[in-house]
Amino acid sequence: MHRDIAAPFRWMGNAVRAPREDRLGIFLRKLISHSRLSADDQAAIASLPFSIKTLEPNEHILREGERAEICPVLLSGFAYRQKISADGGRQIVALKIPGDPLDFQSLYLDRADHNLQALTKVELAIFALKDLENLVAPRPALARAVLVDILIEASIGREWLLNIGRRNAVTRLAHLLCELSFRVEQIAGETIDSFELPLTQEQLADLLGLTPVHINRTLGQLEKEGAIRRVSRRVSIADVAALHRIAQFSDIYLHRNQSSAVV
Amino acid sequence: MPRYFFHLSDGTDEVDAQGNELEDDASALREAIRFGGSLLSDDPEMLIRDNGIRINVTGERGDLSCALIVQIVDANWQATAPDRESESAA
Repeated sequence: MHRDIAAPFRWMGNAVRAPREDRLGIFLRKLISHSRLSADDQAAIASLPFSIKTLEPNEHILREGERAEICPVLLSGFAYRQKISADGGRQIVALKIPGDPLDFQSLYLDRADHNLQALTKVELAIFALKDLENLVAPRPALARAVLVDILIEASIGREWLLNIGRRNAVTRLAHLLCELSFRVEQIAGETIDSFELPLTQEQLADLLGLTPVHINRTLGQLEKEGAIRRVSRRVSIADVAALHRIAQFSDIYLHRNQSSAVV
Repeated sequence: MPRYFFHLSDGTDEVDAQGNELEDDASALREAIRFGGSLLSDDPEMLIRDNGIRINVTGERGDLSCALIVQIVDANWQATAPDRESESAA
């Protein structure tokens, strides 16, 4: 039961395997949520060596321009992808939740095209990229699961483009909160009564393309509708149905019933 | 960093109880302008409905830091009636 979080990266040469327990369970659940994987494929993933690493908020997991050598998976906490313009403008381009693989892209692409950072304190399962590459090569169902995960993230990205490009502030914010709620509930496997947002107002602004002042006002509007609750600077989702209605939310882009489509 | 509060008057008065932390007065002014622009871009009707909006920015002590006013101006306004003008031009 002992987890040695302080140990150095084991994949860097030691043959010592990290304790299995249930740590990878959330990752396997994420993959199974959109892809059919045989017990054999699942066991193959679970038997890969990995280490556990803890990071503080905003610490970098991968930097733009770097070549990845590891394949991180989010076990707890939230992470974000961010790009920064030449004049310092920040845009959060994706949010990752527990269970999410963070960099399947590097299995295929040479260099990181964005910064990958911890949003909250996070725990990561760190695999050697080479191990994933070797695992996936002879296993078509696994390769497909990797592809589908990447495709679903791309779909979410397209919805974000629409969200930022065309929705008004209150609909835009409600849509994001509704999406987060759906995604977290899917991996948790149960309804979550009150979900506390891991983002600050500044981060919401960087994500939604609005100024923090406008975010502040928009949060106030959602609070008046009973959709969210604010206690000092912490925001929690109070009524997902209200967010759903305000956002006119359609969950098609989340591809939530994907695994039933697999032959 | 000091906290600034952005109160919107657009027919109804909205008091900002939460505020935002910003560097200084100059940053607060810039944010007020961005905020105004963002609001109008979001909902142009706001300006038409109430013929104008005003954003008052206050500091932590409730003192006014700056105010932003955006108004629609009637472009058909004339100084004199049309026939009096043509009389004097003859």
